[in-house]
Amino acid sequence: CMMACVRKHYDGLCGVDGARLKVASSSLSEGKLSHRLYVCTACGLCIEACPKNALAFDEKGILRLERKLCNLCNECKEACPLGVVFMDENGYPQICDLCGGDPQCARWCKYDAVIVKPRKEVKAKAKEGANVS
Amino acid sequence: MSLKGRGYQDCILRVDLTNGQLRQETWNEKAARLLLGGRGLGTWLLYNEMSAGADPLGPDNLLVLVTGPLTGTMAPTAGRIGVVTRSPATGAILDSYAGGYFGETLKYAGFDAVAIRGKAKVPQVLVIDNSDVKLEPAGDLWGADVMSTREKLLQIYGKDVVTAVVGPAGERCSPISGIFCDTRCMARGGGGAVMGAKGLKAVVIKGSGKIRVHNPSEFEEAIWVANRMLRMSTQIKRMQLDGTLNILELVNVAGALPTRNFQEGQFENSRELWSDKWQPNWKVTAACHGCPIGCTKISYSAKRDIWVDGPEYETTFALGSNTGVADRDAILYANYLCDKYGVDTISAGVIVGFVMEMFERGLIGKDELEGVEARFGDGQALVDLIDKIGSGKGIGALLEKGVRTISREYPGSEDFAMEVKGLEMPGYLPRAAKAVALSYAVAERGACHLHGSPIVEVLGGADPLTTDGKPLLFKTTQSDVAVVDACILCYFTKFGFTLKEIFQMVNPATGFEYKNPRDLELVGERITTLARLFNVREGFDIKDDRLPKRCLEEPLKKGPAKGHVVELDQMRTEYYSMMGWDERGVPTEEKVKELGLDCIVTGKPVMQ
Repeated sequence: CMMACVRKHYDGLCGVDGARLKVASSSLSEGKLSHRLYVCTACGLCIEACPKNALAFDEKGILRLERKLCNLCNECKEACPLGVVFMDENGYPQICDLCGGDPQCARWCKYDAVIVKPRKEVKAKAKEGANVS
Repeated sequence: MSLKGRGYQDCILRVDLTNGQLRQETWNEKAARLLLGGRGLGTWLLYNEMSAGADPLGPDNLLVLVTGPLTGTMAPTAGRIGVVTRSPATGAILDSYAGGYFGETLKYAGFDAVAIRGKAKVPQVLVIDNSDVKLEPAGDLWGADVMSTREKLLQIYGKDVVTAVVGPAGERCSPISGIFCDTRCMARGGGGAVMGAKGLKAVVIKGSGKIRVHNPSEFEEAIWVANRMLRMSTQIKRMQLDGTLNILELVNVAGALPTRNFQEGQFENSRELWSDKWQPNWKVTAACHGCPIGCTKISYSAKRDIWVDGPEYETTFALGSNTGVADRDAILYANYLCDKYGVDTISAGVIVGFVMEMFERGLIGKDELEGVEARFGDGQALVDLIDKIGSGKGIGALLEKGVRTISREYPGSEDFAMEVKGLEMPGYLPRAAKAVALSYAVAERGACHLHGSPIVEVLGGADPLTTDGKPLLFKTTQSDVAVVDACILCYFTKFGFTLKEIFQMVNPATGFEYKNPRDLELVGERITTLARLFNVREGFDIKDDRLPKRCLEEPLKKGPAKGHVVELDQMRTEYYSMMGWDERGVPTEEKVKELGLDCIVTGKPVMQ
């Protein structure tokens, strides 16, 4: 999923750094081996947190960043309950944009772990900080 | 023309542990076209840069960590790492691979391979943070077991690094020690000993770069087809549901499950070792990087409070049926000990089975074994012996050296020391699987099921008991697997797709424009032949392509393969002839030229 995201946003390159979702593993030394998937659920908390109104959903419901308004304050990153706001090399937030309507992570996942659902279903849960991924 | 942007990073990291020098260099396109990468790259470096007779534990042995052009791309299973070096167990060329995350992280850091020579005065850790590479003293990491070493490395260098470490067994240069990458392992042939002898405790990598392929859109189409074929395969589905253990019941039915030191091919208690019996222990199912198969099962034992990645099929045969033990707690704990000390479970288990047979025959006594009554089926004896082998303490110092070395101390036992070239046999009984028997005898690294063994013959794909057509079957799978080890992909993809699908991925990735899959088959044959040339230079020939007397002269007493022995001579002769080698198994000059190897086997690196 991470590679699919990078592929889409970095013009066909292969890698995991720069993906807008993450698989986080805890290791055996921390008591158990587990992995969890963290992907944007469009909860909108980053939009609310932005003091410059630089983030907004467009008419299709896709999150857009107005770079000219962004002051690199990182409030969006702090506000995200899932930790899926990643800063690019210039400090601007990279947040899931649903690949413009055809999420590549869901397309490539072989285990049906990443699935696309109607927004209303997950909005409330995400606000509570639950991992709805 | 540069290889960068065609799957490769075109950068080999050179490490000299004697003087601490680090430098980077490119590979060359001519060799890449002929050998592809991975095992091909490692074998090429070893052949060109080493002289005959280099001590495997000395500074002149080259240890190469390798990736291939597909590593780190979205090709399925493309996250593996390989090691190529000269084995201290066999003296032959060794290549061994592991899944996990190390392979692609090395590529993302910007390297196709790390070639290490020399010997450090003080134990070191090689730290790679993208282009920033350095050697740091290992300090009190030296002496730590595999799990503790990894934990400490994560504390020192951060939670997002990947690591390759050797345990105490590797530090001690045990010929059965492996290189452990998180919970996966490049286990066979003593690669861990080479690292330990060089004073290299661990390699730590952070890699955040990216890889370009030659034609991304065509590459994506080919990957999509390959993934679909994996999804359609029933055998792959079994891997996913039941892990590698899924084949145990099938191999037992075929009469090829090595039991009590390869005396028989069916284990009367094998039912206790089926996947469903292990399921209560399985807490996590996982996949290696980029893998749609996902065969990893992580076990937890509440009784011992231990976590183990496994047990795999090979571990379960070696520590279970091969020792007559059906006690899952004992097998799991023995697996844990092997992982902790850092040794190969196959070799360790075959050593235990051998010691048990020696004990039951009265060749070795309880006193020599420091109180252990090494009887087949005794789970406590299994655990005790594994602990001695893993720690190297007491009689363990001899036992860890492998069945060939042990048998030299006990005349008469060579007939049932189940090894070839000094590498212990893996989990398929040769007398019940003739193509596998041939592969055990002739594989370059010693008795091996991963260098083209047609395991399919015990899974319903062929009549395992006939020798007809087996040399050709083996020759084909041998090339195919050599290509898999060059790309580097996982062996299990062979249950889903073929060389054709690999060819369809390799071309758009590299832009090499191979005309058809046969060209890739030639790459595989080239790699096998180059590996054989390395061995020939070290003095190997037909006398080493042998099997123990048990396989050749002891007809099986019962089971589906009752009455069978391995008719090795005729298969081996036919195989040599097909490969274009002489009657001693040495590649002829004509063959070397025909394969185009003559331009890159002068003993000097090829200049572009």
